[in-house]
Amino acid sequence: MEYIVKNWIILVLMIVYISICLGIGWFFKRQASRGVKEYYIAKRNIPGWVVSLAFFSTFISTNTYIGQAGTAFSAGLSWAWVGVIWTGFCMMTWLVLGPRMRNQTAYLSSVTIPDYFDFRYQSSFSKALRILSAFVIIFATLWYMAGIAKGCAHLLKSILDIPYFWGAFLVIFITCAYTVWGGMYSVLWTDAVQGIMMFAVAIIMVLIPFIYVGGFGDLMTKIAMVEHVTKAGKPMGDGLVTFGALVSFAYILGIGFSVGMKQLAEPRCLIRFYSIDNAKSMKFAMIWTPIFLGISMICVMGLGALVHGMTTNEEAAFLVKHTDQVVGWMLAKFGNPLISGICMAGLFAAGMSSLASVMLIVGTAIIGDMWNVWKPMPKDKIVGRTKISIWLYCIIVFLITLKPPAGIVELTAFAGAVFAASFFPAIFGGLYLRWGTGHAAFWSMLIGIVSCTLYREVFRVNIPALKNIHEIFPAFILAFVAYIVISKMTQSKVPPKEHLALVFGDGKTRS
Amino acid sequence: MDFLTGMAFWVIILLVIINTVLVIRTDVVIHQEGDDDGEKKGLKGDDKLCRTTQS
Repeated sequence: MEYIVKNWIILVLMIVYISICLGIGWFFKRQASRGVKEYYIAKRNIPGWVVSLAFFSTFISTNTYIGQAGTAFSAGLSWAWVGVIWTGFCMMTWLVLGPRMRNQTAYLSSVTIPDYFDFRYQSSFSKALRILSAFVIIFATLWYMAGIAKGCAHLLKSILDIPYFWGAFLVIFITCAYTVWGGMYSVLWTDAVQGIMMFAVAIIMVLIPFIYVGGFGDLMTKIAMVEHVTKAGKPMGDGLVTFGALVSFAYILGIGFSVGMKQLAEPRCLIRFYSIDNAKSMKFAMIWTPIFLGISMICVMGLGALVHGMTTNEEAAFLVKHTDQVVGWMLAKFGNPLISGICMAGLFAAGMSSLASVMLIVGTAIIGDMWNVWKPMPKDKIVGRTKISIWLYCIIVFLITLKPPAGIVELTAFAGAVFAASFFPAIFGGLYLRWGTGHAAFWSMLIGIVSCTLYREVFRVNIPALKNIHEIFPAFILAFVAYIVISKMTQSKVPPKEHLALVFGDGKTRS
Repeated sequence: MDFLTGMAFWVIILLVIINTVLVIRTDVVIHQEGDDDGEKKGLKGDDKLCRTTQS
């Protein structure tokens, strides 16, 4: 009883939010199950504002709202430059990839990223490329989902005192339920709701330190000269407001690029383009997605630094070593149950929106891109088997979440770098380079994966000069160069002119 | 807050404005399924989705 009296606001808000998500999934259940195009890509019939919010909420997860916001506590306001890089990549993704990807996938009747590679390149390596890319998706997503579920489970434990086991169970299987029911319809519409919540919560959270301390001027004066210490025990002084004082620009660039570039290459982001209904919607999303992301970055990326204005010296000394707890601590210190409840729901929205997107991608990869390629099945079996595969995959993720391997955050970041390095050349080449070949796409993907792994596990560990250069830089450059060189060497494998005319929409007015 | 630190927030706003202008000036055309599609274009809908061999 005491528990309910203490937590009733947060519990009510969470139950309302979860009910909305499950309700959306149930609403679209019948429509989504009509066929593969409905289930996998919502029949390319979704308005731009939904897709825009979905892209934003899918890309941004609890890793950002808790992890990145908390990192600013030790890195200072300079950390906002990570937000600059992410916003830049968001723009680039929509301007460079959005319309072309939507059109080409429609011309090809593609419904997944791996099958886009297959249908676009039409070479003896196309099937291998499709299966390789599906495998990368399935493997990388395991760690990504476990990392997010772990973060959400810890949040439930710290705020609502729900045991870790049950927290992980609830987050994974509630998300699984509405994803399986409504397919891409459910994923997109719940993402849109979650995107609205996340946007509002970003603004609410950044206001908290200002309200607590008593205004913009007071807070900025307070954090401009603190007596707090860094993780190494050195005085911060004015480091929180001085560029590069607490964190190197090389590190900012590394995180900025390695995570920001995911927007250009990760299937969970790119699949959004498939579902847009028309040109007006596309333009709306091209304008508003960077706005949603940019404003959220302004709010979240410097948040941790502002929290210094709320802490004592002892509290700061603890939090600088446990930056993942900064946001939770800030909400507890502010002490407003309604604000805490709204922010909690927003943080869960951030996690669940990303979970739902990748769950569906994995299901389509397992059934559509692996099983159906290996052993073609009747088309009326595909949706049902996709649903089962999502449930089974979630069980595996849940088991991993119960005992996550050490360094799961690093594993997740590494997986993101692998996506960017291995997928982007094949995608960009497919969209823009008529002379790109399937051989080049396959080998560049493999080279991206191998070079990313080797650089991280061998070179970066053993060569001190390379320590601050993130694996994404050399792996991306190598993979892209490989794509170009191998394409030039295999020009006899370029798809027929008629196929390229279809893919590039020759004779049609295009963007 | 020094100049470079503060600039991060202004650069984000500037990027968003530049992007808005670029998009407004861009002509975007989206293929609607059914436009120019005929039997010559090959399989449709779920049949094409289940296709595993190269055309």
